[in-house]
Amino acid sequence: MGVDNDSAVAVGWKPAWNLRMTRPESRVGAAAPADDLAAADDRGLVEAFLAGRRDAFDVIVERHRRNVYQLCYRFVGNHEDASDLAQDVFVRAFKGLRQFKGQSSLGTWLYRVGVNACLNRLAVKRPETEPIETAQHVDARVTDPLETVLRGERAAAIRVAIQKLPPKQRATLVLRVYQEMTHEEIARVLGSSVGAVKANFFHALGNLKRLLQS
Amino acid sequence: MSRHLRSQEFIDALDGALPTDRLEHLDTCESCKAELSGLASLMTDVRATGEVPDPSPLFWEHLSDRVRQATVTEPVPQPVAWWRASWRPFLAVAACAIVATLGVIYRTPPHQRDVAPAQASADWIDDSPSIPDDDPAVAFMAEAAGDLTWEEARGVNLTPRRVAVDTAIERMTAAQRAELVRLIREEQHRGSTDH
Repeated sequence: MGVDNDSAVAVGWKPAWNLRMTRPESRVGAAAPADDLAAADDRGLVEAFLAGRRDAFDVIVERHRRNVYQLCYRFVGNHEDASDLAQDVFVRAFKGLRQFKGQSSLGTWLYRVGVNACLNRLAVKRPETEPIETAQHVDARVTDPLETVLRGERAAAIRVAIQKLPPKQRATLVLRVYQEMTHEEIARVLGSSVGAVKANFFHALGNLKRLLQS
Repeated sequence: MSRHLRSQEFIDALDGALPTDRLEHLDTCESCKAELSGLASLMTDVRATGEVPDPSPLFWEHLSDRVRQATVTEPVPQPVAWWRASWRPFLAVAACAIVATLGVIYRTPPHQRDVAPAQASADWIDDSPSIPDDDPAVAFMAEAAGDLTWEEARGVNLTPRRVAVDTAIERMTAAQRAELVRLIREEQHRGSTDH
C-alpha cells in the first residue's frame, strides 16, 4: 500500500494492529548516534571518538557543520567551493583529532583547521566569486528601490574586494567581523600574536577601503 | 600635540578599548578622528554583507554523508599513548633511574666483600655523590630499576650517555680505577670460561 505513516496519521487512520516502530539505523547501531553521544559535550565526543566510537564524529560534524560551512563560504564566496572545503575540513579533523589537546574549544580548533584549509585552497586557486548571488543579499524590506540597488551594489563591491585581500588579512577580517571572534581567539587560530592580528585587521580595512575607492 | 594613533590603536579604538591618554589625543586630532570614523563606517558596511545564503535544507545531511563516505576507510585515530605523550618526563625519570641504578651498583659491587681492598671501598663511598638512603625518590627509582639486568636496560635504551661514563671514570680515584679494571678483567675472564 502506498500510504506512508505521516499521511495515515494526517487523515486520522489508525492501524488495527500494534506495531512497535523502530528506526532501522538504531537496530544496527550505525547511523543514529546513541543518546549518550547526543547529550555529550564536545570534549566527551572527542573522547568517545578516540576510544573507537566512529559515530561520535558524526555528532561532531552535525554540531559544527553550519559554522564550518559559513566560515568556508566567507573565505571563498561561493557554495560549491565552500561545501568542498567544509568536507575537507572535517576529513582533516577526523584524521587529526587526536592532536586536539582541549586547550581551546573544539569549535576554535575546527576554525583553525578550517582557516588552514581555506588558506591552502587560496594559495593554489583564486576562486571565482558568484555575482549572481549578490542579488540575494539585497534587503527587500527597504522601500526605496534606488537605495535598494545602491546597497546591493555596495555589498557586491565589498564582497569582491574582500576576495582580493591577501589571505591572512582576509582570514583576520572574516574571523573578526563575521565570526565575531576576539583578537586573542584569532591569534590562537592563526598561530600569531595579538599585535599581529590587530595590525592585519587594520591593513585589511585599509586595503578594502583602497579597493572600494578604485 | 601627542603622536597620531598607530594601527593597533585604531583597532583598539574600534573595540572601545583605547587607553585614556590616547582617547585624549583622539578627541583633539581631526586626522585620527576622520580615519577612525572611516574605518568604523567600513566595518559596518562589511558586517552588513556577512549573511551567508542558507543552502538547501538537504545540504546539511548531504555534507554529513560526504564526510562519512570520505572517512569510512580511515581508521579511527587512537589517542597518543601516555608514554609517547609524556616522553620528556619519561626521559627524566629514566635518567634518574640510571643514576640511582648506577649508584646502587657502585655502592654495593658484587665482589666487593670478597676481594675489594678496604681502602678502595672506603674511598669509593666517600667520593660518590651523596644519595640519602631515606630519599623516597631514590627508593622508588631503585625499586623500579633495581631488578633490571644490563641487557634489559639496553633493550629499552636505558643506557647512560657516553659522556656520563667518561665523566664518572674521570672522577674516580686511582684506587677506584684499579678496582674497576680488576672487576672488568674478572668479568672478561668469567665470560671466556663460560664459553
